[in-house]
Amino acid sequence: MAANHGPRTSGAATPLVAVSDLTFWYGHSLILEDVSFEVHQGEFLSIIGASGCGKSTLLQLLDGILRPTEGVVLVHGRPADGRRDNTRAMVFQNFALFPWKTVLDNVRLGLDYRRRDLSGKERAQIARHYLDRVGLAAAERLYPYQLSGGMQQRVGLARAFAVQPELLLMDEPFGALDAQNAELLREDLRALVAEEHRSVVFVTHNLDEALQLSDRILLMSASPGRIYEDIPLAEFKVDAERWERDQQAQHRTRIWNFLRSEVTSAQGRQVNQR
Amino acid sequence: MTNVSTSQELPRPAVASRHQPPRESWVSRNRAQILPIVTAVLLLLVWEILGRTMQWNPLFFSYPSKIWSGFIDLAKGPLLGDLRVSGSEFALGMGISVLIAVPVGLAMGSLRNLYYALDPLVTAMYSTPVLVLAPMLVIWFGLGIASKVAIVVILSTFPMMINLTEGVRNTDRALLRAARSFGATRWRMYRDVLFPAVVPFFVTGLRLAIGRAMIGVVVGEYIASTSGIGYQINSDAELFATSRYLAGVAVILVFSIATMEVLKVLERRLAPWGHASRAQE
Repeated sequence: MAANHGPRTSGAATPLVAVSDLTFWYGHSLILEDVSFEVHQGEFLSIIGASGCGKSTLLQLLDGILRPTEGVVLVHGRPADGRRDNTRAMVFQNFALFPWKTVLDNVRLGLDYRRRDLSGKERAQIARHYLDRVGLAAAERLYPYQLSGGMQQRVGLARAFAVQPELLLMDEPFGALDAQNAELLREDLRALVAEEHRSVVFVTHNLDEALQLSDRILLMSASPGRIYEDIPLAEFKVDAERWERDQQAQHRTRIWNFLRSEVTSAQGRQVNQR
Repeated sequence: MTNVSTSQELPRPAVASRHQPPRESWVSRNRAQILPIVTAVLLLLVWEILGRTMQWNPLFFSYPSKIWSGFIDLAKGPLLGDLRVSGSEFALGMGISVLIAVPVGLAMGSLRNLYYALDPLVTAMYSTPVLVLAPMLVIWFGLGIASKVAIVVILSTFPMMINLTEGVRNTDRALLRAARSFGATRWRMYRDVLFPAVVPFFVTGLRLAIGRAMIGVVVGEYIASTSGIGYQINSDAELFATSRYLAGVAVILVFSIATMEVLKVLERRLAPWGHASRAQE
């Protein structure tokens, strides 16, 4: 892979995240089996798959909230074991804002937990900066219930970006929003990721969202979750016009055919179990 | 610093609407406060008129103006002393209940095994009318304040405990996960997630407990005591001093309304985030 694609391309440098032979059991069910992949510095990676393929679990394993049953997750060469370093931040599908904290206090949450080296004033200043970046500077004293869903997830974005993580973990972040707000937030996310040079692992079930945002797509099969295909898109996206015209549609059709068979066979299994 | 979301807005014509929002009168805007007062005044008025015109036996019936003079009579006599006794029973009993209920309730909410072990007992103590234990507590603790405090404690502890447990158990898992993901220490998890989540449940428990505590004080004093507002009410009733007796009842009534209002203010102070959403229920 040539280096002329800029920072978004996966090169030979040490990966930001290295997952190898990851297997995860939850109780007596096998959620993930032999999952291996890498995420490179500056890459936007989407994970897509039918429901039940363990993509949210995978994200929590990357975050270190869950520990792998077998295999390892390395971030910067160190195991992601729940000990809090400042390399990762999560954006949640249902926002997970603290209802009893103001918008500003929600945004500075991660800083308050992780950056004890900064003074309270400095933390507030950083939080304000990111709140301003998502267009909610005027809302800092409001409580989450006073905001619309789209605005709440902007706060969620600001909270994650405020800790200035190298890796953003996003768990279907726009899945709970209406189509227009989701589109607006995707624009914002793109701008923020580009300006701040962040790497992203983005879990979604929205195929078009994945195609639009990603440099690479991991296609997962379900029960147990495995990586079915690793689809690099960055090289196709170099020619924007050509991507829009034919590459996007081709990829879409191919991925959709796979997802369709996954969903229908899952339904078949469910019916047979009854 | 550019604002990422408003880069490509189309210009919109600024047209002021000709329409005004409909005006609402002062009475209509404050009807939640006005209507209960109207009810109370009407009731008192009808009561007073009935009392004055019907000439019912004053041993069995009284009406507002006579109750007021009964109250003056009480206030000049034993009322303050009685309130001090009943007030200390109430405050001590509630204080001890909170001290027991908060740690045990929180622990039961967080530790599953403790919950399994204690929940049936707590539920039993909450749902049985434990007032039936009052005579025994009087035998144990005597005629003074201690027996009433004990009655209040067995009545008030369990509703608070149950609500605190439920509060912890109902804490939004997503918030706990978010706190953990952003690196909260154990103490910050308690401070930022569990405690605030439990506040509304605690206030509900407190409200139930206060109602039961007042029953405990009054009934305890009925059963055996030498002073207190319940004792006073009971002895006036036995003497057919109906106006004074009802004045005593009115004192309790005013006290309960006052505590409930204080609780509402407390809840708004402690949990300002949920006030608007709950008010819409």
